[in-house]
Amino acid sequence: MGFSDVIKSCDRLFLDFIPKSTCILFSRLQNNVRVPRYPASNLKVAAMALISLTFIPACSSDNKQKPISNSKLELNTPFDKESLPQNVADHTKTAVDPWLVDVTQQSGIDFTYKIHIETAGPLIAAVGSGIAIFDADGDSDLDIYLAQASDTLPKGTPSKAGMNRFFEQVAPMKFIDSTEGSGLADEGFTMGVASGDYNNDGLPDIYVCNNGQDHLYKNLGGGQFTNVTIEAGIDIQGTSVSAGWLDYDLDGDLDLYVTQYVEYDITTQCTDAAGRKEFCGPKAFPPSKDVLLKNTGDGKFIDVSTESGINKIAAASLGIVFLDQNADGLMDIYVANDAYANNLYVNQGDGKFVDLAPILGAALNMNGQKEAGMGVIAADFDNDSFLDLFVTHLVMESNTFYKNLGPNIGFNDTTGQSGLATSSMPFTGFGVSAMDLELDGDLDLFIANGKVTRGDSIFKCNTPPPLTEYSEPNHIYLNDGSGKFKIDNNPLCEFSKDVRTSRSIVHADLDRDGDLDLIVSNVQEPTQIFRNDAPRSGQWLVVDLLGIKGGPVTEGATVMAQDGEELMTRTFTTCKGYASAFPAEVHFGAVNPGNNIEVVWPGGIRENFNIEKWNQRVQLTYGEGEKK
Amino acid sequence: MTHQINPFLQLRILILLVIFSSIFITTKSFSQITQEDIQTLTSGEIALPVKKAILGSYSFAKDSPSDFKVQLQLAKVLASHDLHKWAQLQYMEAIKLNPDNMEAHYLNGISLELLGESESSLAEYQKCAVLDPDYAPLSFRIGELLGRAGKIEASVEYLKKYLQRRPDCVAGQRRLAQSLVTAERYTEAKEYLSKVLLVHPNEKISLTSMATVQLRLGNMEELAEYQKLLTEDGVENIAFSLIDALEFNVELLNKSPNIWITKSEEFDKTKQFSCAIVCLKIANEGRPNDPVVLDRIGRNYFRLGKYRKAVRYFNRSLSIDGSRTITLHNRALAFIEIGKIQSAIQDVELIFVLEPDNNRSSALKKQLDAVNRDRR
Repeated sequence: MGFSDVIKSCDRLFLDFIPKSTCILFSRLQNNVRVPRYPASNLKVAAMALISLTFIPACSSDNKQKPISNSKLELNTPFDKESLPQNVADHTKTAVDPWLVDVTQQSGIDFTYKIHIETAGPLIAAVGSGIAIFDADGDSDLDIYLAQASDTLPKGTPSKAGMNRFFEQVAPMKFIDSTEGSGLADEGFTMGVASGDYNNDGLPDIYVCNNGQDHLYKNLGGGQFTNVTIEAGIDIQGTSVSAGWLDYDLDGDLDLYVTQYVEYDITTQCTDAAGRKEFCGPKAFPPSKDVLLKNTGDGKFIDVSTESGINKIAAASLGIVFLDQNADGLMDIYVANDAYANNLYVNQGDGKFVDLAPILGAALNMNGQKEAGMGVIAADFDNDSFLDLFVTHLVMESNTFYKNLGPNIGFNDTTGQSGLATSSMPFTGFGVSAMDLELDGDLDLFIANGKVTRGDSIFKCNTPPPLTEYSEPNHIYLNDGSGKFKIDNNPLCEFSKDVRTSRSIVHADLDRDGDLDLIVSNVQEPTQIFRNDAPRSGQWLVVDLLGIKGGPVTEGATVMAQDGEELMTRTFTTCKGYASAFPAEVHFGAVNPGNNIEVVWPGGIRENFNIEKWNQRVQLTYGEGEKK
Repeated sequence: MTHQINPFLQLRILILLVIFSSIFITTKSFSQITQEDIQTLTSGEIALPVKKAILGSYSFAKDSPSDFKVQLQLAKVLASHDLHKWAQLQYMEAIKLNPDNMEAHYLNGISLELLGESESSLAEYQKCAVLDPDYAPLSFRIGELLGRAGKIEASVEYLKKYLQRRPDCVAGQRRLAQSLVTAERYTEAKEYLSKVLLVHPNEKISLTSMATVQLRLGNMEELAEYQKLLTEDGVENIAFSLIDALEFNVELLNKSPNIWITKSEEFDKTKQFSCAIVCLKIANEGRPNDPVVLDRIGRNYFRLGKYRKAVRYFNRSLSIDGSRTITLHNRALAFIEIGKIQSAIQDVELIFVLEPDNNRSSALKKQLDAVNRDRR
């Protein structure tokens, strides 16, 4: 960036709020640009620059007219192009502009996850709130389903305010509340949500994890759903937090794994070391056993938890991901447990699972300690083709990065080496998302933080009581491409300027402009949508997979693409993060993109696909690629 | 005309100045936690006994602003109730009064660690290492923090330093083994895990780590063995903790020496003699004139092969109660090890003067008589 560019960007953005001299100096610091000296003393300007660093979130100027980036016009977007100028991303921004812009107000999403401690009791109120992003109505854009805590537990009379909400996207980043009449107004005390096409009709269905009876909603098309829990033979009454769809037996339909937290007792009272009333930890209750439901292919499920070996272990399970750890074509299950050792259920291929997390080094942290596992991601952060694991944790425990050393070798806790340890120690991480923010070919990390015990450090926030002392900022870690991360909130200030009690975070290309936006759920404060305005380092590609009748499911497939010499590996799965469902699509960013895309379908069949160009969405159908 | 100031008046002015300045200085130094802070802290839902403890300690601290011990005590009380932010501020006050006090720096480091301030905590531990390089847990803590920061090789070195001082401490052995696994130094990790499993054959985490190590070394038969062991009854999770005075500083406030003697017996059973010594030394602080505690410390030094140190503790025990034949017996054994046969003979002779029918020492007496005959 030259000096004139600096002046221009400062003219455009900062004049209303921060003296131009401060902006220029800051830009100079950021970009190492030589600028002429200003008459004010250097000390004074430097001090102002420091102040401006603290208040960079104020730099955001949402109300200003944004120029439309060139890349936006080239998109094969499902939206009406005329609607674009209303609420679109601006990728011409400089390093000092916010890369993630809070567009909640303009989006039409007006939703707050409300807890009622008097009815929710001492634990469940702190667990929080899942998000599902999926194309509910088949119009190619993404819709949002948000979990709501009921104000009654578990068998009282629910009120309308205690129902889950369904927001349909009608224009880029414009949503309307379509809950009424959609059939998705679940009245339970919802914590997590999962989306997947269990009946292979091409429409994503919804599973709702409740404290109490869980529910399965079948997608009828056109944004209409019906509750089929009873017909499907599902009777889960526990404290479900996350659920995920996978085809563990390779029979061509999606089975369901549901994490169970604890045997909750609302009458339990807990206090902290100073005798103050506090949310209970999981150890205040007996832990529960997870549930595996096998899809029998006729719209029904049977509980195979016992014969599969899943319910040998009782642990307070929260997050869940699926990965093929030993590269045998079968999906394995990794469960993040709160205050218990994590599990890695390795699929034996005969309907049984064996927990090999301890031996494979993924059960405990490097000190041999159990941690409070919340959210979890399985992703290839260092482009070595092996999916690493990243688990979020409680304050005083770092979030943990388990580097995958290879099939059947296992994982090493390399959190410290990855730069993710010390900065996460004072925070309680819940939701996690791994996405390529600036299209440079590597996955960055986004953590939703929010305490479950008051502790000492109090951040200034607007969270209403009783959660005022539980709020803390969210975090962004930028990947340097080798799996080493640096916490870097300054240029991305909007994302972490608000101190809230956050829980889930999900990424999705909501405005179909080729980069991934973020949605964050908070307890007692509105759910937020952040539009990705980050400067782009490369090109993007979104891959959608399509199965065929009698072929493998798409959920769990591995998709690989080239960025120069680097091989990027992504998993096609909706189940990751914390209590949430991500869109069923794979997103790549690349500086030197290659045209070959390799897909490994569940079961191990490999196909190569050639694509003509990047900066587009492609749909790859099973059987249409070149077999390897 | 020149005014002559009365020297007595001069002295009085000087004294007044000193008093005023000391009031000013001390008032200023006791300013991090204000009366208002304490009121806020104790006005909420905090339990009554906790309130009383905090208010009591605060009142002492306010009345004695320049008393290091009183200031430190307030910090400890705050820390013991997990109020680490406040404790940390108060540790800083105490440190101002006594900048070279290792205990204050160390406890401040622990509070900083519990606040998640790893880097500041590491800095405090490094200050402690200068003030008291012999305090073993420092190496452990620094090793852990370096590990967390990703400096695995440096972490390994510090954990090895810890084990130089506590060679039989399983907490250190297991922790070092885990760091070695992270450093992908599997053969060394195996060595330390074997030591832990020798003491605790059913300890789950070490068995699991051993299985991981065997897997990564490609020893599939051994892996199968450890996998089998892990499925057997009796496999248990054991929490190994560091056993050192400052680790338990806050607990110590409320615990009697008997608890530490019982803890030392647990370590005796698992042959972790250096850890047992630490517990006994804590017990000794509460009971400085207890010959039994001193004898037990000597005995554990003997088991560690540190015979001269053992003799020193037996001497202290006997100086309190010279009629303890068991301590005389133990000292005789230590004298033999360091070649002071004559002293050993004298101890054994004294045993039989005090207890002519002593059976325990008769074999030793025969041995020493034989040695004495040969010498003649």
